[in-house]
Amino acid sequence: MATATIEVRSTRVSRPPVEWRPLLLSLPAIAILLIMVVYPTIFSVWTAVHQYNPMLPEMDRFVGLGNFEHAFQDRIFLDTVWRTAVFVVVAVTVEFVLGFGLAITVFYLIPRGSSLVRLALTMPMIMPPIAIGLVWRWLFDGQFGLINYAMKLMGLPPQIWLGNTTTAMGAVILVEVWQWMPFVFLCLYAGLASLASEPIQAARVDGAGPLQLLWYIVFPMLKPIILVVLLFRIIDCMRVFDIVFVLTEGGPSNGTVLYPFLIYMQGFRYFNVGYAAALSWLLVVFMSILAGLLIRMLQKGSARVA
Amino acid sequence: MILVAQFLKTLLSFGAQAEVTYEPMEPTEPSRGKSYRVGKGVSCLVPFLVLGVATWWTSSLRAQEAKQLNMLYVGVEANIDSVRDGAKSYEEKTGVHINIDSYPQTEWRERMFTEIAAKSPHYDIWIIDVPEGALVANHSVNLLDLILNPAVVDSKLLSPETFIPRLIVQSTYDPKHTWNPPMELQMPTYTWQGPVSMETFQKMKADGLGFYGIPFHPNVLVLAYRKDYFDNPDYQARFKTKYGYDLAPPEDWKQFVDVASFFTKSINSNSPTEYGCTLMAKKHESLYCDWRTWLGSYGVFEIGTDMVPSFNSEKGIEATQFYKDLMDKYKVVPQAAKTWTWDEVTTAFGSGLTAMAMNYHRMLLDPAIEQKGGQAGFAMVPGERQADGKITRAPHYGSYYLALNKYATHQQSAYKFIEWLASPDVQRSFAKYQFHSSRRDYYQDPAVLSKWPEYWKPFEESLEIGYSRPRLTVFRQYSETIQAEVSAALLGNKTVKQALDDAACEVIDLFKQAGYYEALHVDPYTKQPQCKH
Amino acid sequence: MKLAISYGQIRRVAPTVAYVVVLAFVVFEVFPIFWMISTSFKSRWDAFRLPPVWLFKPTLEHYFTILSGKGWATTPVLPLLINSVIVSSGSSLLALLCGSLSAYGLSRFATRYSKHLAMWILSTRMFPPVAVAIPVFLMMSNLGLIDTYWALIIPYSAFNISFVVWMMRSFFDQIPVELEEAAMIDGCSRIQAFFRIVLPLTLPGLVATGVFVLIFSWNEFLFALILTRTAAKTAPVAVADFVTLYGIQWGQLTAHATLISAPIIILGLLFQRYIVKGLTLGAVQ
Repeated sequence: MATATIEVRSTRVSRPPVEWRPLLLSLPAIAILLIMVVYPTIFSVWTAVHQYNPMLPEMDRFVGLGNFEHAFQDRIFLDTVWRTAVFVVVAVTVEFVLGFGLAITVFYLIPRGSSLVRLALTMPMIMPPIAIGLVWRWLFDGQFGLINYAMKLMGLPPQIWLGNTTTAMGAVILVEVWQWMPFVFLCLYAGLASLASEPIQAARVDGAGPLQLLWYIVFPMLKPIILVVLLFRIIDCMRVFDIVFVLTEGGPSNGTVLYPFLIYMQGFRYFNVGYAAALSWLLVVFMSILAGLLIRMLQKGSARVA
Repeated sequence: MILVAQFLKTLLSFGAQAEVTYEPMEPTEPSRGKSYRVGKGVSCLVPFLVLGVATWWTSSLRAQEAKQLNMLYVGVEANIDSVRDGAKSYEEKTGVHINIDSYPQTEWRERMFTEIAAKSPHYDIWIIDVPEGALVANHSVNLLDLILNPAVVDSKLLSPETFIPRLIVQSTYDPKHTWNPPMELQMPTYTWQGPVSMETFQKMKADGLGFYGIPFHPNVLVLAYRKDYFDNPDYQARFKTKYGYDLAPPEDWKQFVDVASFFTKSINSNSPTEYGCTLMAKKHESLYCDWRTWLGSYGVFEIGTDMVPSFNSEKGIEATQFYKDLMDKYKVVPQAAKTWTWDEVTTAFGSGLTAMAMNYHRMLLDPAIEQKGGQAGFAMVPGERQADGKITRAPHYGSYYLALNKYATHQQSAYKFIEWLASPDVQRSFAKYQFHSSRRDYYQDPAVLSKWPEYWKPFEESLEIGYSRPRLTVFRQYSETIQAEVSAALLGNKTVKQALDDAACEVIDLFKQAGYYEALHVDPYTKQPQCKH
Repeated sequence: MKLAISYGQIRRVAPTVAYVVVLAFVVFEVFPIFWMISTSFKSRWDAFRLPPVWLFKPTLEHYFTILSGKGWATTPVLPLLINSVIVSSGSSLLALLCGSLSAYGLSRFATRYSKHLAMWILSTRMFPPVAVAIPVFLMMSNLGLIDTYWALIIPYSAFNISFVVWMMRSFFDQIPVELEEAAMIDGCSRIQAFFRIVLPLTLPGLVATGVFVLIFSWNEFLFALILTRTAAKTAPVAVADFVTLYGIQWGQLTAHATLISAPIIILGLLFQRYIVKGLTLGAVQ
């Protein structure tokens, strides 16, 4: 922070009618965001209404809403949207249930082992997604994978995990949960750790049992953190790309293509940059609506207004 | 700037007193003016400004380096080690430094694409793989201008006669439309049948074609097999008793099934390997390459001269069905192959899981296996035996080629480098890296053949009969459409006929969008009426 | 809630059950990483032998290979790691600084537009990087910044600011305003109150946020690939080099991945202790 000389002037700074300080304090952040946002936004809006392939500049032409029309007629697009929705719901739910459960368990029942657990659970998030994807791809391999080996040892029939659409999708969900459940765990654990202890002590004195404590005291106090964590996990799950790219590359016959991967396929594989831009905008619009709804829904009854 | 000042003022106002007077917590300084505060704020920005200027200055410095050429290359797919070696020798020879950026194929493609999208002059030289050729051709320099310019070309280095003829067509495109069906149907024979000479290039120029790169590092599908097992007299005797002919690398598909069955444990309990062969049947470019090898051997072309798909003909369905049967009916290929590409095939063969495998490079065996006597042998891939006894083989092949960036500036010096790099003597010096040469004389050179002769012979023979892709501006999407449908058939989600028919309709839609039928004034639905909607 | 067994019984059994369950999860989370690290010490073919080789002769050959640059990766790994350090720490610091400032403003001064500002900041996270890659490349190319550190620092900061703002805002929200007001009445300026009261209390949150931001920048792949050539290439880009035509080079791949992950793990170790220290609740009085 800039070191300010302490002024002895006890001037009363006349307050402006509108509170500008949040905006001014946010200026550096806004500046950086604008650099990254302005040009790409203009570019992607422009290309979304054109049929634009940078490799074939002679074929550029204005198509208005043509790209969007094409999307809704494209079977692959519609399948992808559905699949991504299912993926997000399942993955976030599992991540959250496991993460929250673990956080409660570790915080209240194993306080002494907590730092070791926290350290161990931090590891999956640290790994470069490419390396992790490759490791899991190998673990799932039908012939050489350890999972099938373990199945054989247990007497279960080995599966070609990545060769079947359903199990491949399950594999993608598993890897995503594997990598990001620790995030939920750590954030909620930090939240639990920074809770004020008086309300809990007071409730205990009043005779509340552990489950009542959880439901009526802890959970509501954690709401702000839970909201943020959920919000970020949902948004991030909608942006999952690395896992699909490395594990299945879209999977057995397009069966694990998630939305960002579809954008990648159209933009970076087929070079249909205009169409990819249109798809991106659809995603952004949808995510904004969803985020707005989520924030409103989850804040009902919470004291803090955004 | 006003905003910045406002921002700083807000920050600094936090340092101001609250409305209550109190004793200062730090020794007071005489109050300085507003200009002092703003000055302090600005001085915090100075380091950032300096950094920014330095960055801009150094980047402009980089642009001034003249005695350097930048090359974008792939990695081991096209033998990067040889090229680094060559670049070093070239620098010693001429003093020109070649700066090589190497990436694995997928990443290479993405980098190329972004560079072209920005019309960036940074890279002087590109390596191009054929699938991207149709898209990149119009961004590359037409080398005919340089080759037919006696002041530039060195015909001893270029040495057209030593090229394997089929490779020339790989970088030959019609600039008016860079897309065309397989070369046998469309491209004039002098571009792929040889003999190659300077006349070839003159004819190209006269016909209005463009030559966009010097062929460099071709790849072709070659069969690998466990020589130690095939030479084993015990297995030979047993095979002969069971099938009535000698055990040898299979020449046609029937023999292929026989040999593979013999080496599949579930069929022949005495087999030393679990499976006879493996395929690369994941939804991946590898599947497309495998599939078309099978199709080609049945005499099927994927696309006709009118750019209408013809792969869903009866023979095409038969070929694809046979491919599927190897896994599902004859069971000589592991089911897991449906998730494997050329990477895993190497592992499958190298670890001793299969007795045969097909791939685009010389595969190695696990050293533990080699110690026990394991040996890899190589042969041409099998084909379909015709009525007259001849075998139609169609090993998929492609070639990389060295191309020049149209937007870059040092085109002549870049050309001199690639001409030198692709010259017969220089390519011969790469033999120690197992380099795939584009020159015929390479494969006859005793020095080259002294190492791995068992590989080079079938490799070169396969190159001479290779079956190359159609060239399309929408190649990636085309290939993935086919991959998706064939993969669906392999997984049992559709019948083979249904999958190929669906693929044909999707391909027609794709080509329509790409403008092919419009350009050729062709109605695709006359040949594929079921696709009309 | 009435249960069949008494709370006393649950209280006795719970820790043991908890230990087992938590242990199972820990093993699940850690095993692939353990496998990855152990593979980096195995010889090339041991990696996929079945049954898996648990006891083996460890070899450092892969590490030597990638450190010397003679492996499948096209550059030695050390310069890549240095680039990663510079880019990640630069962008993390930038994001933390700008984001915290913004979060503080949003948290302490409620206005009509702060909800919109916050939502706009959040919306910048929604655009998939894949779609932004090309225009960003064009922009950086025109600015002459390709293959410099700034080409990565700016986008990474921009991606992370939304996260920092929202996380820190919720942490700041938890600190009652009365604390700062009390301090200011006692004679602090707002900045001093911020540094002496608010920051120490939210330090665990700041550190946790900082760690996540750092991890993201450290592991990011697509932009690092597109926006660098050689000078500013970061470590994750090279991981793809090991998936080769000749098979996946597990030894070198896992060695490289381990080397990339090691600095972060060490960092996490250090900061874990910090978080624990910072949690000693004493300030909330």
